[in-house]
Amino acid sequence: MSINKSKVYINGSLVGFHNNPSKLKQDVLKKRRKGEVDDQVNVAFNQETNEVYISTDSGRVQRPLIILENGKSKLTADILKDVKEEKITWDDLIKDGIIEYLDSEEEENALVALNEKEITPDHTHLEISGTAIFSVISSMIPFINHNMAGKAIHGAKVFKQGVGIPSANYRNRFDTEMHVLYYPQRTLVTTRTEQLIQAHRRPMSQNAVVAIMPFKGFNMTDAIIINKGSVERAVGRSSYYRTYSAQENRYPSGQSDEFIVPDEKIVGFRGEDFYKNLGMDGITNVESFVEEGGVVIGMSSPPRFVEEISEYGVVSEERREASVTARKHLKGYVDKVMLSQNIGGTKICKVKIRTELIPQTGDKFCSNHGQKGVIGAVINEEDMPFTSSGMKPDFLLNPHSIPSRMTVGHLLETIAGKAASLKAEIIDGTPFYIDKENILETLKEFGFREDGKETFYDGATGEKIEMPIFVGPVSFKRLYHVVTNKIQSRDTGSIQLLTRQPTEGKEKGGGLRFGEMEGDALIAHGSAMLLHEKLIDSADELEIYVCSDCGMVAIDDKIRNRKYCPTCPNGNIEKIKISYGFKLLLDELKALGVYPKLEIGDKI
Amino acid sequence: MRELPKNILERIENYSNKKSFSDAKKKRLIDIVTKRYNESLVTPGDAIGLIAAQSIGEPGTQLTLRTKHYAGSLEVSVGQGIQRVIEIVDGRLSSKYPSMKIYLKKDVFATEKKLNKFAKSLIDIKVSTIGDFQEDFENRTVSFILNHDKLDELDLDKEETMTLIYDKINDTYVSKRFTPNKNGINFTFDKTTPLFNIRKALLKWNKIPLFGVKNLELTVITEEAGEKVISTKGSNLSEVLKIPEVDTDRTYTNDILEINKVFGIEAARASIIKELKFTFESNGIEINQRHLSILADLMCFNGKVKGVVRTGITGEKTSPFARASFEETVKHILSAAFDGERENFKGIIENLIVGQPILAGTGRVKLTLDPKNLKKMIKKQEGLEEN
Ligand SMILES: [Zn+2]
Repeated sequence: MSINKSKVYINGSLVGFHNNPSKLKQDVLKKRRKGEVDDQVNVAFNQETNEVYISTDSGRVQRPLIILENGKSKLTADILKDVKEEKITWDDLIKDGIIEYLDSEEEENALVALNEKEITPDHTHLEISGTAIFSVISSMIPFINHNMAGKAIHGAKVFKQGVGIPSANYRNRFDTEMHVLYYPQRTLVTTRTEQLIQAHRRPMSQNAVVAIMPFKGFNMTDAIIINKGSVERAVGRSSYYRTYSAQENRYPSGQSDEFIVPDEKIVGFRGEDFYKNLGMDGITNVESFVEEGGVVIGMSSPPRFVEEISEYGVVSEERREASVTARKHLKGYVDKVMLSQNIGGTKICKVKIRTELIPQTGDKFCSNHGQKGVIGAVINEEDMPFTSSGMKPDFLLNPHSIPSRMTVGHLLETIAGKAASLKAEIIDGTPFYIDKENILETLKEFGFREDGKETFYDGATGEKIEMPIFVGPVSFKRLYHVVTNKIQSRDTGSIQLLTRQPTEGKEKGGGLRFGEMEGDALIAHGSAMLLHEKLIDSADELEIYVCSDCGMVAIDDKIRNRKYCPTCPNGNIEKIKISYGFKLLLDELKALGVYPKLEIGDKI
Repeated sequence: MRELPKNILERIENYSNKKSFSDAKKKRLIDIVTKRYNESLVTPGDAIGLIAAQSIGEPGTQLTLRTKHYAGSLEVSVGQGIQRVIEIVDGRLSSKYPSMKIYLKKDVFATEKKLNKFAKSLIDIKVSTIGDFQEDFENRTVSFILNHDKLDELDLDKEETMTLIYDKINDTYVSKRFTPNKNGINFTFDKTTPLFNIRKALLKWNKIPLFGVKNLELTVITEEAGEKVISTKGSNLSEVLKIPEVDTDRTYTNDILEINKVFGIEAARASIIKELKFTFESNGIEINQRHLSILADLMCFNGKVKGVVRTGITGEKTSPFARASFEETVKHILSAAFDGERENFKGIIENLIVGQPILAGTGRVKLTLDPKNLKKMIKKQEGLEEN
């Protein structure tokens, strides 16, 4: 067999050899364009390895391109006219071999022209639109072709974290979690994709006036300064909805849960005041205020064990409190209540609670270009820097966040947004199709500097700021990472049953883990007493009695007020301080059959 | 104030002599150096072992996890990154990428050709390196086919090689009959020989060494400060040092256990530091010498290279709790119980387990009251008040 024959692979497995790989490729191509082979089949020839790959399997990303023949686009003006008049559909274009889908492997063989002007006889394909190289989401970002690739990905990622209006029927839905933005705005700089998928009709961002300047160090490391006046005018304000639900479960004993207003008879009754918001049906009234940890649905459960019938035949039913309460750190108004039943006839209740989330220190915002940051300070409106026209920006970004990220698109959007608001007209920022001259012309026309900079005055002193400041409206998203849902702290609280150490986790009011590495850091620093405090005093400190003769833990009989050793009758009992974890270890050692004899000595 | 070590004192002496300082000036210099020396000493009670562990461990997270392989290139590849550090610290018996640097005595090789020939002569060549055995089980014949390309590559003489193979196999298997063929040698066994025995013999013959130094797989000539140095893949320090052309003072291997075997524990200790330093530095990380020497001291202090593993230094801790807290808790506790061991609570982990303040840092110091001086103080105080 000759070494010059090329290997032919179908879906990655070698099927044979071919003398003329280029011809093989052309044959498959011709058949595909004629419709004899499926349009999702791709064929590629790798000259370096002398291998032909034919792919028909799933999982390849393909994208459509216009076919060029002899340096001429197959999508002629006539066909384009028919397309416009809707005589020809997309499928027809593919069937007729005018447009075809290429996968990444076949793309390596193709030479794609970005626009018709670029076409040379060498080109094999023509881009339908420059925007087509982006995904749907990323092509909605204006000027994305001016951004670093990494930041373009960041920018596209936050689209799914942005707060907007999630659905048209959000008032009627009972999602466990939902964010709704108060005043969503159309972006001043739009793209054709946005118009195409009508995203501008359900926007999820607001046009904030953003100045790029430091401010007293509060916007270092990507933090954002926000104007308190803007906050009061509802910039970035949103509602957070959370649904609590309960159902009247039935138990084998024939009893069932009940939606009621609990009274004194119920075990675990929390006082009348606690249930004051509940209506007669045991469910909170609509638009009543629910405190942190307040009751949402009043409910009682049957006793865990069926009680004996007493002498007089009266069943003293001791029902338990089982009310659903609101989460910690979350208070709000009852927005909507739903009562229903499932197929089995079990009553279901859902209560949606609405919390107003006003932007505050720690809340996260992001521009389309991946310039994200949390609020570092909310500054009084009178302290914000202002321009000669008296305009005060909503956000202040740190200049350091621009050069290393290379998000030129962000800056261009600022300038374009400025031109858009001056002209009172939406500007097209579709990547690769931008009329930059027109934007700069507009700025000049209205008497603004072409570079987007303006003179600013210090809000506190009124002094002019030496450097002109770059300012303009940029579309900003509020992201659903809200500080009220994340904040956690604890002084004392619940402990674990086994180890008597604090529980872990926010919902349980747990402590923050002081782990091995943290402990090592204290040892390395030599702070033995601080380490002792963290590991023992604020965790599982234990005072215990020990027999100093046999070294075993003694019995502390609190009823008879007597301490004695379980093994030696007249053992000398001493009090020691250890961690409960060590007491557990001693017990485990005893279970292993090891006698852990403690030798007690004075501490000093 | 602690006195200066001998080495520093000598250096001060030399320096003062060179600059011809007066006695007073020399004393002043010693005073300054003593002061600085005492300031630089570690505070008693500092957890230096832990600090060393942190100082080596944290940069370790930045080391590359992958090993660089130079396929086909002549450069000898050395294990790099975290794997190499783990290899050294664990005190493993066999290194994954053993390598030597063979320095040569001055002007032993007049021409480059001779040097090349010498470098090639070091390569460990076995029978299997330069040919294959083909078995014909029906006739109980085995023929050795010589690989001429390989022979050329290694600069070997065909005639000489064949004779050597013939002799070596002849030595061990006298009863067999040999017939040389065009490219090799035919071996004919008895018709009754079991096939298994033939196969066994072949496996043995394949491993018969012919030329070179055992374990040296590859030699490459590199240049170091204008001097030709032979780098090798594979290491055999004791054999290489026997070769007369080799400069025994500078020749080096990265196999720490081999250094230990040949030169002893002090050399091994130094090479642990050197190898760790090299690995970190080739990743652009600098670690203070003191941290590395603590680690190396700990690994070598009882005369053998011991790794930081449960079979090494961690398993030899005196405290049963410290051992149990590392690995195999139950096993250590039970064996400690059988031996009736006593926990003395001298270390850090032991005290952490029990919930006592650790004996390091501020936990190390205790306040004591001197009753005699106290009485004096009280008297003085009373005297002052009376006045
Ligand atoms: Zn006792």
